[in-house]
Amino acid sequence: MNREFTEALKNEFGTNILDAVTSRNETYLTVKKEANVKICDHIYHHLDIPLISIFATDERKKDGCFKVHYVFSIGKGDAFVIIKINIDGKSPRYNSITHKIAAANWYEREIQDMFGLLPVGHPDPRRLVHFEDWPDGVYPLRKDFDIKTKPPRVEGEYVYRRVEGEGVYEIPVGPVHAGVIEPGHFRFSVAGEPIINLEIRHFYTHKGVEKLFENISLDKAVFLAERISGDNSAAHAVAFCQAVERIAGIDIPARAKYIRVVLLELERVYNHLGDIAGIATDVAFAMGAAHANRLKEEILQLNEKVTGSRMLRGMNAIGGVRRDIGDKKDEILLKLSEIQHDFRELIEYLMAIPSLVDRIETTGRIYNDTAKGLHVVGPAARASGIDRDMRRDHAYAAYPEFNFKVPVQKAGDVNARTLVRADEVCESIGLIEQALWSLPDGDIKINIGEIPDGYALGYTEAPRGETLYWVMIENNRIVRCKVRDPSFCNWLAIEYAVLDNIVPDFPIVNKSLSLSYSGNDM
Amino acid sequence: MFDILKKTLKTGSQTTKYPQIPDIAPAGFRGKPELLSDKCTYCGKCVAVCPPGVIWLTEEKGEKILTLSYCGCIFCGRCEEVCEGAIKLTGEYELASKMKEDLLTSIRRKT
Amino acid sequence: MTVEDEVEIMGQRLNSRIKNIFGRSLHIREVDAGSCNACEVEVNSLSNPIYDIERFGIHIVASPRHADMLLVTGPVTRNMELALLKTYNATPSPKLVAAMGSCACNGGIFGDTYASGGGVDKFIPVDVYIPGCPPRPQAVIFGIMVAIDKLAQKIKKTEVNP
Repeated sequence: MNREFTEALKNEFGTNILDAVTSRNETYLTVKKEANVKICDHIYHHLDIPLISIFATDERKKDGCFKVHYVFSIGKGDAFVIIKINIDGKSPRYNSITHKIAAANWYEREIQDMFGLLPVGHPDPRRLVHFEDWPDGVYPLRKDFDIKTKPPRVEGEYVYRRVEGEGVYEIPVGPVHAGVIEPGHFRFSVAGEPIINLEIRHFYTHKGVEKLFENISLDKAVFLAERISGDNSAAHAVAFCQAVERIAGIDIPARAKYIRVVLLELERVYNHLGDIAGIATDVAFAMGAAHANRLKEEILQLNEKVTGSRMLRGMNAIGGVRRDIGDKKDEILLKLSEIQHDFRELIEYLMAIPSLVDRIETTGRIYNDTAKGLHVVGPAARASGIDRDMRRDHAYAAYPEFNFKVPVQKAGDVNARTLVRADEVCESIGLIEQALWSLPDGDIKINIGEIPDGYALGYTEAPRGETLYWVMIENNRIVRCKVRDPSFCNWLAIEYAVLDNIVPDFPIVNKSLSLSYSGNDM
Repeated sequence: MFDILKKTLKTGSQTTKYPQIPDIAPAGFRGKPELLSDKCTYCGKCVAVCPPGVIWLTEEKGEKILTLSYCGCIFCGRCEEVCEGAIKLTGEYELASKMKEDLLTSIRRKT
Repeated sequence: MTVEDEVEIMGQRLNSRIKNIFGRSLHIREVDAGSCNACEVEVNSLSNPIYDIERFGIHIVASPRHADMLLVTGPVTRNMELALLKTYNATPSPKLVAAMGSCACNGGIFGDTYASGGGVDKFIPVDVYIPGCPPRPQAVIFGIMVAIDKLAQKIKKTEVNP
């Protein structure tokens, strides 16, 4: 797959492609800096391959250059193509691709803030990660920045987009919200009730995670990965471990792979139940919410019994898993069959209540082309007719051995997202059953000594969507770890989803997209 | 609507009796780590692996002191994993305290 | 006295305490100062039918101006510092602050870096520390009980030297 692809690109772009390296399913193509827009545009629009991440590395010590990587994912054929450009450390500028590929917007602004690489021609060159009080010329992910530095606060102003007109009002919301949710700022421009523009301002919870990865040892890094997006702990930890295991070139024991599947699916079940409860709460249907919350709590208690942590923490390690769950097999299966029966009944009743369905149908619509253009991921994408799922398209752990369906809906509204989640809960329970029935014997972990220098991608389908890690290791230490949480893609979509909806429906739209602030801000 | 009402009646009250009746954490729960002074060799392995760095090994007046703070502990159990039996994660979770100092535990031995 | 006995007695006294001190209502405002959202999941669990803290008259309210107590999670990021201080100042006195989770207690795994402040008590006075990553809902209920104890002392003090 990768070879044909590389050949085709070489024929098309000739001398613009300087170098091609393939390892596993990843092909790294170094191209001329000036050709990045042309090549990315060709891959994205002409070959119709989605752009799933952009990240930079600071390799000035080696060759005086920063490197920017564009990651494309070929779903059919399980391959990744990474376009790489070198940017001279003395003139840190490169051409922006955002005017061709809208999904690149935040990535380029993030790189601008964290590395100081200027995307020339970016339509919205404002800051993203840093606030107005962050001094100019300080870039945390550059190698010469010490993590303990506390840059002084300076005067500055952040300019919001303004909508003007007769009867147009602005409603600022956050960062401290009315509900128990994470901090973020929303600025609505409304004319009466309908929303005519929404601008989101995030990165209140920016904790410097990517820099922190570079300052801690590998075994500790797993625990940090678990704490990037709290309720997606297992998905983040598995993605990180898989990246490191790929660099080390090892295959973990089959039993560990099966246990990972169980953990990932348990996580999906409790997240989706929580989201369904949230939607019932937001349409003020407390009884339905109480039932869904009760089911979620049962899964959390099951998690605690099985793994010792309600959030499935502390289970993954590089080389396998830390605890065997084989002896709790019957308990899990029994509980899940009860929950499945209970949940099916609940969702049937919920979806028959007109006051609930009225609120969620046609609300917060994300059209298929918007979802595709912004590269929306996870249940939100599948509800807008995009048939993408990492578990199937880039299968990992023990997923290739199981049967499961990927539910897809077309409408793109809150209702569709709820239905996708409801179907996924049932599919996940089916996956856990398959994994536990056929749990292979053997070790749960292999010891890995020194890890060779190298880099690799690690990925999982978290409850919110595809989670992507790119890890680079030198001398047994992490020199760069790029984390792409699914919410980083999906946040942009909410600005489109709420248009023409009324302000009171915003919480439902927000909940139905189930966005993580912490995973986005890191 | 009647269906869900019926379901609610069937489900009944699910509320826990905590705190009137203590709630025992399930076996295998990762709670308060305990230091056992008779088994500790003061080797410092736990200090090296602790992700948030809340275990310290110090020396004072000819005594070796191993201190652990529950305050920043993330209850990952790495210390228990590398230790030869001197650190045990218990099922205790009611750790809240008014003073930060109360959240420290330490063991010491004369060198 | 063992821990279990202590808890049982505390539990029996909880209702009467909230009644005496707050007239059956303790209002809590939750502030996320940069947590990973696991603590938020657990705070939300507190109001599910299993833990149902409303049965004690404890409410999670929408504004700090209605609150008797702030429940702060997260290590206090550089970008949330100002919002946390503003929220604290908007809460009427006498007020309580509980730091929930390891990050809030002393930075946890995020520590003290360019973006993370390394604990709530570096910015505002903290009355109760609730360790855990995240603490189980029962541990949070226990923490709230400890906090109420502290408020009783605080009120007594203000009565003696107003």
